[in-house]
Amino acid sequence: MAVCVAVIGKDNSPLYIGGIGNDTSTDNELSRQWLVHTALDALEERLASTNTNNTGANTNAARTDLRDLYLGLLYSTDTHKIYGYVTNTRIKLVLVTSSTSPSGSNIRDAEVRTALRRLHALYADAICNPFHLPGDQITSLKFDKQVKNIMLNNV
Amino acid sequence: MKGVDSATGDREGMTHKPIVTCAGDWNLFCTLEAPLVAAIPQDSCEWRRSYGRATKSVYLEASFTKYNKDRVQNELNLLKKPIFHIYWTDCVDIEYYKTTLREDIEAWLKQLEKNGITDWMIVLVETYDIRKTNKLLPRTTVLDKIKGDFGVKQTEDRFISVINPIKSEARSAESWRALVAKIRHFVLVAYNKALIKFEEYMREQREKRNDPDWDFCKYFILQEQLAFVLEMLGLYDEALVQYDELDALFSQFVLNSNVTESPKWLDTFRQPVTSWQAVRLTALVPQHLRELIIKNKASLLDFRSYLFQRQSAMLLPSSKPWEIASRCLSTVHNTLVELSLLGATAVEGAAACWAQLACAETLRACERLAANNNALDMCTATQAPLLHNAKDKLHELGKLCGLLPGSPEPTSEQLHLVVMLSAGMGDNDNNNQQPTPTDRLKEALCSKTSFQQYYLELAELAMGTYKHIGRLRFARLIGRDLAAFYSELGETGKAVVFLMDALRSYEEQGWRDLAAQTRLELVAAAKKMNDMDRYTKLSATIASTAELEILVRNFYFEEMMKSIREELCKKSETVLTELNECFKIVSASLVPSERGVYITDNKVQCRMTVVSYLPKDVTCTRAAISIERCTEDRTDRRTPVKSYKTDLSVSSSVASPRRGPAEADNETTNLITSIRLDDLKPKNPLLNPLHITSQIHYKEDRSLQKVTVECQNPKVTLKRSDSCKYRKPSATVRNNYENCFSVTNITLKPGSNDLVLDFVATKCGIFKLGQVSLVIEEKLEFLSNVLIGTKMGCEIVTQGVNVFLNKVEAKKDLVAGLEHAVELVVTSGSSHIEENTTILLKTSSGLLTRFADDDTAMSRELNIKIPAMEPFQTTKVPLRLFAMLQPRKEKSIEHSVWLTCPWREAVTEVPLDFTPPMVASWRLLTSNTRKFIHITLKSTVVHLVQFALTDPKLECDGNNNMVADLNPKNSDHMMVASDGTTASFMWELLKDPLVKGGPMKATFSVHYRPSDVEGPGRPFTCPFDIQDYTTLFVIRTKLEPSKGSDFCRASQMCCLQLSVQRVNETEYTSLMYEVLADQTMWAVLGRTAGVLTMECTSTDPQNVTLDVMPLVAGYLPLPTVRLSKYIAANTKDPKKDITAHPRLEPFSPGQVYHAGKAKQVHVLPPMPKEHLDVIAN
Repeated sequence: MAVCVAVIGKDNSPLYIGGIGNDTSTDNELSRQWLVHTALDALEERLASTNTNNTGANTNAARTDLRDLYLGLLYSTDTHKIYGYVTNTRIKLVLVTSSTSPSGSNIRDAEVRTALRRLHALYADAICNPFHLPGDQITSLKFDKQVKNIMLNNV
Repeated sequence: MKGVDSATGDREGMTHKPIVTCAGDWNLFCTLEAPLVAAIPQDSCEWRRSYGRATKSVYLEASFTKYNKDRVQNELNLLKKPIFHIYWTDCVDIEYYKTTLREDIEAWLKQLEKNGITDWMIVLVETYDIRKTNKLLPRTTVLDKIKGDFGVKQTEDRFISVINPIKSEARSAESWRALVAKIRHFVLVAYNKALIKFEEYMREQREKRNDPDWDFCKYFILQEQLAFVLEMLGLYDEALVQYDELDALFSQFVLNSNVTESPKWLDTFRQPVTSWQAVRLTALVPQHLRELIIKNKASLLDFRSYLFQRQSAMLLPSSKPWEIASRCLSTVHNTLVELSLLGATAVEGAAACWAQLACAETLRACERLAANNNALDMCTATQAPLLHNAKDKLHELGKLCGLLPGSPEPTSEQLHLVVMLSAGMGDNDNNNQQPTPTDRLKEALCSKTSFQQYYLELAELAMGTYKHIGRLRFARLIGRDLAAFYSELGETGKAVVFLMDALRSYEEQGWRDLAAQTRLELVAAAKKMNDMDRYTKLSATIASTAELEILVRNFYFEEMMKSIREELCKKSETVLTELNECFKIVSASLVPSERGVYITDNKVQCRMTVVSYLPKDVTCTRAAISIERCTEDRTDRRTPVKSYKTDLSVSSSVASPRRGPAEADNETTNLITSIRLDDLKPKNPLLNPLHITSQIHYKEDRSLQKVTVECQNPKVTLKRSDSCKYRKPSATVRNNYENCFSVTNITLKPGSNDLVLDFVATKCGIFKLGQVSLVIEEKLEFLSNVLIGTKMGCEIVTQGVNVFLNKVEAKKDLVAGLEHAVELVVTSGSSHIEENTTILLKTSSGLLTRFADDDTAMSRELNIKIPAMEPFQTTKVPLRLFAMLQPRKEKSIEHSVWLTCPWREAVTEVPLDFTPPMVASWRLLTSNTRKFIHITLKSTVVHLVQFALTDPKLECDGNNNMVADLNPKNSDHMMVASDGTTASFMWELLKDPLVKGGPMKATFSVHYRPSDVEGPGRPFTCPFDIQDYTTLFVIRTKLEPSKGSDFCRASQMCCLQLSVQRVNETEYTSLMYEVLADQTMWAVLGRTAGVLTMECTSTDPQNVTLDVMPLVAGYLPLPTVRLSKYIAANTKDPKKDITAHPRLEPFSPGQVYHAGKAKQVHVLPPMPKEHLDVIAN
């Protein structure tokens, strides 16, 4: 389903980047990192717009907006689509799907939403580890395995 | 159908008009057509629709055709189908109507009815007749007749009469308006019916979409009619919905074709793509594309172009250019995916061409629209991705056609490709001055320079736009592309600027992989520029980057070594670079000095742990830590550390010169000697415990209001961490390494290395550690300022010469009157002491000294010569000290020794405490009138000393008093010792007992010597004063049995005779006696005290008799009697309070002699009982 999943911290530094898929000269882990990195721009744009909405008159509407942590499609390229999700503590979750793969091209918004929610739950589990310092990179093998499972959509 | 092709740009959107047929008098209608066509669109009409759809206000247009009974058939083509039918007549003659017109109308209506058409109207055009209005009762008109003949209740309003506006414009206005309104209303009613019918049909068709024979193209054209009608009615958003539905339907088919069997019609879109013309964002329907779709000959690109153009056309009137732009991008992406999914063959680059053109055209359209609508800001946000995509596609084309800089001249195949691509783009009707995107793309594909110009223009514009809208990461991504392009172009300098910018941002935000990649690009650029410094530095950093593969790291490590050896060695100076990228300083600590302090000219060591990230061992030519000397300078550095206090309690070893805590000054206490740099990091605030407390709040009536859980320090926890914490550490300024901790020629292994760096200080002062420098292979110097600001440092002192005066026997007190061995200890500290240095020693008066080894006389001054000394040597000069005994009774004798050293201006005072060797005490003893003096000597020295005493002597002065020596003559073995052995001496004071002696001074002297020392003794003297020693009164007591008894018996009254006799002259005549009887032995009956008055002249004893009773039997001591001076109350002078009452004053010892003091009396036991009885009888 997805080819890359990233957890990005409050300060926009990557906490975890996991990717699957065949590496080719144009589509490899590094290129996906660039996709995730630039997605932050679009993601921050979304967050800024929700914040300005918040100050506006329709606070109620904005609140419901805020409650939805899923930000939808951030942007797309010829080959990839990048979706965003932000937790209440401003941890950003980014999911990259490939438009060229059969499973990635036909993906529905609801599926991505579910996957990102699941990822959020996994992230929460991972940082519950008392030996994990908030803000450090996530090195848990279990987390990695579970995230890869989400990416393969066989949860 | 005239609207479809004829209308050009000036009439936006409207390419179709509702068709209204006209029957009846065609000539009449022709006169009215022009005003009618003009009048209909002038006002809006409310369109009420069934199924609860929203009522819309609609502007209508209409085109009129002559009624043709053959074309009235109920066809499903919404556009070609006449929607409304009007019968026109101007007949005023009822007769004519009855004969011909009625039949004609009937035939017309029948035809309509036959085709199920109910949307018609009959219009009677009248000429205004002034006479007619004058008639009170109008006669039946033709309209009435028509109504009567054809009208039913529902259709009554379909008959209308209108005054011919051509003939009398003024009068016709009202009726004309009514006519136009009716036409609008009926046309809309007709459309409502028609659309409901049509939609039903359309749905039916759509349901069949899974039939093998179903054809999307046909369905597309069908549904598009609905869109056309909605567009025609001005309902662009609803029309857009129709196109979007078609878009989604198509996309879904294509996506499904990938997983399931694809329908046959989809093969249409698999045909080879031959044309990739630019989309044209106008309101016009691109008929040639539509024709292709109808004919099933449209390629995927054709279809997509058509659909996008139509969608844009629906968006153009709503003035939302940004919507077009964002749709363009998704369309381009989708199309490219679909193209690959369907596998439609095309010339390589065709898709890129098409995408580039679509983006560029959309941008052009947006610009045009935004300029009109002041929506520039909204537009720029969506323009940037379009520019980005256009740039990317152009790059792709450039790559295909060999137009990129740095690539070889295009091959003939590539040239052929350019021709093919240009042909596919089609010709552009260039009626504009500005070149269209197609022109520009064609031009760009023609030559390298024009390609480069166009590419740079797009890239710079995209980057600028991204920056403008705040998408800096995208801007940097383009910057990287540009860097690659410039680098190929040979303008590496420009490329480096972009790459450095990108690198900094990646490092700032911790994207290490990206930073590593960017460094690899930078190192290539540096190599190209032949910037060897930068190349070496970057190679070092890359070799230390853990994110990269070890092979890459090793390669760059070798590159670094090579360039150091080959290039940097030519330079005289080292090349400076940042340490933290290749090494990490983990900890540093100053090795504590053996002597407790760091001393000049001695080695100070610093242990530093450095982690090397380099993949291999590397030779560190020199590792150094620069030293910063604190500016303030203490003038008197050479003072001994222990300046004033000489420690006499510590035995002759060199006292450790540890500074007292009170002496430590502020600067030194602030310095730290050891540091782990990890400890310096700010603590993660999330690891702090939250101080959460529960609080119970009560209402006024003391009932519970609420219980809260409160966090006491939310600000600490919720404090936002500064997002801009990253600071590029720049240690490019090299500190002064003249004074530094350093170690040379060591090997730094990958991982942790422990270095020990040495520093020999020549000056004293406070030093702080500064910059760390690691010189690798002689030429590459890594600098880090990480230790600066840690306040790590040390104080280096010159340890001065110390002079102590020490006792040789530390445990023994200094005893006055004895010679003591002491020694002057000189420790040279860190300095040299030259030959012929003398220390002047002066003592306080009464204290004498001499050198121990020669027997010269003792003096109060000594010049002590100190031999030449090397640093940290100790010289001892043995001396002897003697404190003279003062004839004073003091527990300790204080003396001082002053030392004057040549290296100090001030004089060092050494206070010394001496104890006297022994203490004498005396007592005066009396026997009647004879007087004796008893002297006791004891020693108070703490340690054990024994003195042998000789020649005791007591000398009295005054009144020519003589003393008689009662001591044994050969008293050689008299001893006094500090273990408690005392010595006593006795003399009798020879004087006339009847002469009253005045105060007398006596001096006791004895010679002593320590019992273990032979030789003459030293004199010990003790002077004392004797006063009031003459016996004035003698008390005698005598106990007599009561009368009739011979013996004293217990419990029997006795008589105590007390006599006081004056034996010498005295002024005290009034005396008080007190009988102090032991109450266990004696009971005194009656008064125990009384006042006696002695006569001055008589020496006769005064007698007092008291009754006493012994309480026990045995030899009892007599009760003692105390005699005191009685001073009567001074009654005459009541003012003096003291004398208001009588008082007693004691006599000095010796003035009263108690003769019976030691007397005892034998008391018999009480009498036997019988005897008692007798007495009782």
